[in-house]
Formats: sequence, structure tokens, C-alpha cells
Amino acid sequence: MMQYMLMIHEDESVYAGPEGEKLLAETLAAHMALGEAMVAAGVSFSGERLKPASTATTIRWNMGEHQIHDGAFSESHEELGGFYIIDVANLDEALAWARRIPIPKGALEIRPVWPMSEPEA
Amino acid sequence: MNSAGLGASIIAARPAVVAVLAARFRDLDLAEDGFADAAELAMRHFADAPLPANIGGWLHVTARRRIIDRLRREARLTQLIAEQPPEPEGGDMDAVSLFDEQIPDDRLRLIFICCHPAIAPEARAALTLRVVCGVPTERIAAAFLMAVPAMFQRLTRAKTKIREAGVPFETPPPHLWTERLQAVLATLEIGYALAFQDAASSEPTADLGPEVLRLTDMLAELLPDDPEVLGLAALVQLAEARRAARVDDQGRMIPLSEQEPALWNDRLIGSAASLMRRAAQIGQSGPYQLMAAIHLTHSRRKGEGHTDWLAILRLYDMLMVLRPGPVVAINRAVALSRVEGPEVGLGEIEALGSMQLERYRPWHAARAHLLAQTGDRVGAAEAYRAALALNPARAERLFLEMKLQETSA
Repeated sequence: MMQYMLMIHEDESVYAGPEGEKLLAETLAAHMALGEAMVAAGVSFSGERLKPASTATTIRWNMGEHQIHDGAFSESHEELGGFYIIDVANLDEALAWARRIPIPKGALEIRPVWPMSEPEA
Repeated sequence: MNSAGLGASIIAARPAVVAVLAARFRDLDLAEDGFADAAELAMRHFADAPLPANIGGWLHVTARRRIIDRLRREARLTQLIAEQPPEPEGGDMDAVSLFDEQIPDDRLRLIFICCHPAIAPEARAALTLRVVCGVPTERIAAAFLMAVPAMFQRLTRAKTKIREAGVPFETPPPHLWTERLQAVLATLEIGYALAFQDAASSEPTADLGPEVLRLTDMLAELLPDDPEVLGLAALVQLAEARRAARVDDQGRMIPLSEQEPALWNDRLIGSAASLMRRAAQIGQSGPYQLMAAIHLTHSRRKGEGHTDWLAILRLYDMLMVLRPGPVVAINRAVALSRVEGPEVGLGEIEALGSMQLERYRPWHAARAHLLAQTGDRVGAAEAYRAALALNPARAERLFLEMKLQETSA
């Protein structure tokens, strides 16, 4: 088995306004349904939704010096809005689940988790 | 056994053996290195001995032992070693059991691994040629017009991605089949484009035509019920059939309609025609079958003495529906000019000008050709100059320069 982190990079602005609220409600309902589907398929997973990037604080390091500043690390429109961690057999299975994650506008990144037991190459 | 014949047998056995090793050890590098070790041993071992009937089995067992030895030495993947069933002791290469072992056909599995959509398309094509066909990295780099270290790095990165990202070493399940097969066909099409750069590549070592032909033939053998797989195999066969006719003795490109049909390879044309009959019986058209049908119609000039341009135009019409794009549109306009006259074809080409084709050499070359046909020598010369300014490969440059001279004379 392998562990994958499915990172949801979303454009949060699509959830603004009355139309956006409706879209958000639909998206959250789709997340709930996805979670139920994973349980039904016996896939062990965890996941969290993150508060908007406007609530983020970043500590930036440079050779031992660090500075704390307001805002998210990334400057792009699409911010990390949440994530899943799933246990599946291979990349194809991870892709199949990842494709079912509801994202009105944005991108989904799939990264294998470095297993703790594997020696660092 | 002479070394050329021995080498050819080893190369022929390569895809199946590497596939089995890759599936078992789940690592493309291990599989490739193990095969290389076994091939080297075979070259020495059978130099003065008769070749066994089942050289694939011999290479597989030998490579497998080599890989396990290496894993033991490196003591790195201890768990992987523990997973391997015990090997019979004794390294006697003449043991009869070596020749008895039949290996499963895992070639398709290997192609699917190398063509996984999670790998960048250019890297997929290079990786497939490297791992499945064993084409040296130097030759692949030359075909992709890349420096060898850059190509080596691209291959290494792709293999690492496969290993680390958990690309499955199994043939994809039915519900993923369509998408994954599309990725395979798209990959082989990049190979086809490389092979079909015509003689246009001035480096003879860069020519991968025969390797791509081997790959598409292999896929047609493994998936004989997929009409598009058969279509692509036919397409590559038809392109390869014209290899000897594509340049003149000065290395100048000869366009298809001016080639000497006597130089076309009848065996490959016949084989392509029968692949396409089989595809047609399945009864599901697609872009590769259409492209192959266009090439097959051209090849009928051998025998019939003329080209059925109306049939070609109709095929391009259908291709424009299934797979619209600038290349298809330009070729369609040229076919149209053959049916309805150069003015009509030229009108079509000018209308395409809005598709931002100013930087696209084939558009200028087709436009120049049609301008010359309508008698506009000044316009034609200007268009040939525009095409020449866009860095054609040597064979095409020589052709365009000759045409420019004709129009300027």
C-alpha cells in the first residue's frame, strides 16, 4: 500500500456572493458523499478543510534567519484549501479517487507520502 | 553463431525479457541493467556455441540471477529480496532448465508503464524507445534534437517518477483502458512523427523509423482487436514503405506526389493494406485509420499510375471533423487544389492565414507551391523565402531552395 496526499488548490473567489454560497454548499455535500464512498470502498483516509488563505501566517527562513509575515506562502490565485491523505495500492487508484474530489475551479495535486520506514535514499 | 545473427536474436528477445523483469522487480533500471548483463554474457557464451531455440528464456533466467545478485550485494532492498522465491543453486549456464523456462508475455504491460499519463508525453516516447526497444540514449537524443546529458536526465527523471510515485506495474483495469490506451497511442504517434521527419533529419543515426515500426507492429500483434491500434501500425508501415524514395541522391527531399513509386516497399504496403482491412471489419473508424487510408490511397499510384485526389479530399474532410488542426487543414487545401484547381486551393490556404500560421513553415511551403501553380512567380518566391526563414531541416531546405530557384529563374 502507498499513501498519497491529495492537495486541493482552489480559487476561493468562486464561493463569493449568493451564487457562490450555493456552489459552496454543493461542493461540501460532494465532499461528504466522497468520504462516504471511501468508507464504503474500505479506503482508509483522512482529510481537512483549511480556512481561507487570508487567515494564513507564514514563517520564511533564510539560512538561519527567519521572518514572520501575514498571508499564504504562495502568491497564486489558487490556494491550498484542503487535503486528503489516502491509503491505496498505486497511483492509478489515487488518481481515480482524486478525480472525484469536487473542485469548481482550481487544480488537484497528487503526491506520494514519504514512508517513515523507508531509509532516505 | 555469428555475432550479427546472435545480436539480432538478443535484440528481438529484449522487449519480452525486460517486460518480465520489470514486472517482477518493479524497477525499470534494474530490468534494463539486468538485461544488459545477460546480453553481454550471451554474446560471449554463444559466440562459439549453437544458439538455443529459446534465447529469451536463457536471457531471462540469467538476468534474473544477475539482478538478485546485485540486490544482495547492495543489501539495499532487503525486503524485495525476501519476497523473491528461492532460486535453484548452481550457476551452470548450460543447464537444460535454462532453456525450458517459458516466459509470460508482459510486453504490453511494459508499454503501459512507459506510457503512463502521469509521465510527460515527450518523456514517455523517449522512455518507451529506450526501455522497450533498447535504443541507445545517444540515438534518442539525436532524434529529439537534444543534448545527450539532457536526454539522459529526462529518462532518469521519468524512471524515478514511475518508481517513487507508485505507477502500477499491472496492465490497467478495463475502466481505465480507454484513457490509458489513448496515452499509448499518443506516445507512439510522437515516435511516428520522429520517424516521419522524413529524411529531413540529416543525421543518419537519428533515424528511429525502424524502431517505431517495431513498436507499432508489436502493439498491433498484442491488441489485434483495436482498430485504431491497427490503423497506427498501418500508418507507420506506409510511412516506412516510402523511406527509399523520400530523398534524391543529393539529400534533397522529394515530396510524396513526385516520388518514384518503384522505390516504395511492396511488402510493407501490402501488410498495411491487410491491417486496414482487418480494422475496417471491426467497424469503428478513427483518426489513425483515416490517416492510414490517406497514405494507402497515395500508395495506390504504384500500380494504378495516378492518384485518386477526390478520395483523398473526402478522407481529409472526415479527418477535419475527427481531428481538426493546422496540418490537416493545409493538406486538405492541397488536395482540394488537385480536385478543383490551384486557385480554389490557394483561396483555402489564404483563409487559413487567420489561424496564426505565420510562424508555421508547412503553411508557407503549401502557399508557395499553390502560388507557383497559379502563375504568381513573385508571390511564390516570397513565400518560399518565408518558409526558408523558418529553419527547415537540411533535406527540406535543399528542396525549398531548388523551388525558389525555379520560381526566380
